[in-house]
Amino acid sequence: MSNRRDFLKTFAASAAGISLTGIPHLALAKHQITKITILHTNDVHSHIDPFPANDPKYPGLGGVAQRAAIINDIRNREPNVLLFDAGDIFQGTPYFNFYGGEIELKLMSQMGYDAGTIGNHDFDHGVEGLAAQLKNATFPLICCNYNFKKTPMAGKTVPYKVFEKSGVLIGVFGLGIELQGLVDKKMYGETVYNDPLENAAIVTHHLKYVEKCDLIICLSHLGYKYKDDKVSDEILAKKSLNIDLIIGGHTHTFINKPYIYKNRDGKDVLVAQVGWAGIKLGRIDFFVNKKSRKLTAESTTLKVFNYASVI
Amino acid sequence: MFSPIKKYFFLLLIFASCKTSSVIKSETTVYPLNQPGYTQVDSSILQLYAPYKVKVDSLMNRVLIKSDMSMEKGIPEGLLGNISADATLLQVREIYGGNSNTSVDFCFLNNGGLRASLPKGDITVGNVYSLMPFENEAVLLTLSGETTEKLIDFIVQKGGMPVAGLKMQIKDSLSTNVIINGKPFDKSKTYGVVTSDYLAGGGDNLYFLNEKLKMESTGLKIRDLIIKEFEDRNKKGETLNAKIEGRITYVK
Repeated sequence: MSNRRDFLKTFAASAAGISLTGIPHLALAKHQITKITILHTNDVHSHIDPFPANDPKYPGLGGVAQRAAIINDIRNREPNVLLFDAGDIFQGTPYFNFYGGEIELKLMSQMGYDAGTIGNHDFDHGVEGLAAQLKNATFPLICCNYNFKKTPMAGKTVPYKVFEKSGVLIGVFGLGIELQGLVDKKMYGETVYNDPLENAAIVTHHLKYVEKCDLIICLSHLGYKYKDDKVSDEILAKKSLNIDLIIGGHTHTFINKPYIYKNRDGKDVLVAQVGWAGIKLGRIDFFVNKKSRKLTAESTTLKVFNYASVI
Repeated sequence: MFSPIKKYFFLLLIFASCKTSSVIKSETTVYPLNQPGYTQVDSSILQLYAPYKVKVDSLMNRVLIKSDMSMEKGIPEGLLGNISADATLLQVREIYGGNSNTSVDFCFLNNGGLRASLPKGDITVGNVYSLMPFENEAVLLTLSGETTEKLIDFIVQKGGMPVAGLKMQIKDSLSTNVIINGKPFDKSKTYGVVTSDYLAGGGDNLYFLNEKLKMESTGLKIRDLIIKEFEDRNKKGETLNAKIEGRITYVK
């Protein structure tokens, strides 16, 4: 952690614009910078028990009780933790065949998930099957590009949600993948898929300028990227404005270090995804400077930038 | 105490106007679960799902057969695809074939539908549920020679799919030496093709299957067919094994 302490010290000095020493400025820095810890999973696919010890690919890996222990540990250490899932909660073990997703949602609720989005396999017992299980979830399903108006899911999702942590506003929205050709029509029924890029543009503009969010996160089940021009997290990142982080899913991609793309304004967008089956838990810590509005742009940002480039 | 195995520091340089807040840095960590150093469990979580687990395990722990090898999927051909397509084709022939005038020529499945590998050793009902969790049913399609050719092209384009009763080579991105049910492919014939209702309905972008001449539902779940095939082999005193036998190969 010494890196971070040095960083904060330097930041404090830089922020004042002059060379100052001593504790008061370190304290100041602590007030200015808020650490937001984002934890994420995707495509857990009803994997509740760890993989069996004789599994050829993932022997003994995963498991909700193991994941919960890590999450508890992080929550005990960090003040501002948010836990998200990027869809395909359902389908993959007999727990889903027999209980239709009940236990998955109960466990995620117990683990304190803050939100999830909807994957294609979450329709595997039909849009009715999904709607019927939502009573087991204490967290919202967030999706802005599925129109459920004519389905039993009507009114049961939200397009976005704003979370507040230590004064930092975190706007979270969700995007679902095109269902036609991927999910049997009789399963998704009258669910209407709308263009993810258009909807993302509208929602992120709202989150940034109306809700005044400091950090904007997309829970996406679009998939990391494709050989063709099918819309993906990569395409979304490049064409977006105002998104800081895309937590992806669907393609079961193990991304150890989030990819960084430039958005339309040349700003960085992180794209993360942690494979599938709850084999890994992703963590991204954001350090948000909430009070920069009281400082001049030059005296803060440039010096932090200079420092940052040295690390 | 968790000290992350891999920790990355990198920087987000998002400095907008002085009126907005800014993200000045981010760190990422990936926690591989249940590996050395990550072995704690939350017992309240275990308690919450214990009643479900008892019931599921009692059904799932039944051993069907012993496998000589572990099987994973692969392209152009994989052990897991071969055993799954074989089981589906053989069981549809045995259980359903006699009730139909349609010949049951070959079977194709999709790799995306094979959701877990099979281990070496005891294969349980649970292993087959993991492999084939979907409630998909086997259907028997009657396809014209032309539509069959489109299907062959599709398999080539995919770089191979799980097949049984079909053998082909891929040369310069085109199919060659296509053998169906032991005979060379003949575009003037019709073929009886076993697949899942998901794929028959255009899943995986198989839109052209709406050209089918006939579709018969077998009423049999693919998972149940695989379970039955494994049980049947076990009853005959066999163990489970598969080979890469050149069903789909690239040639120069």
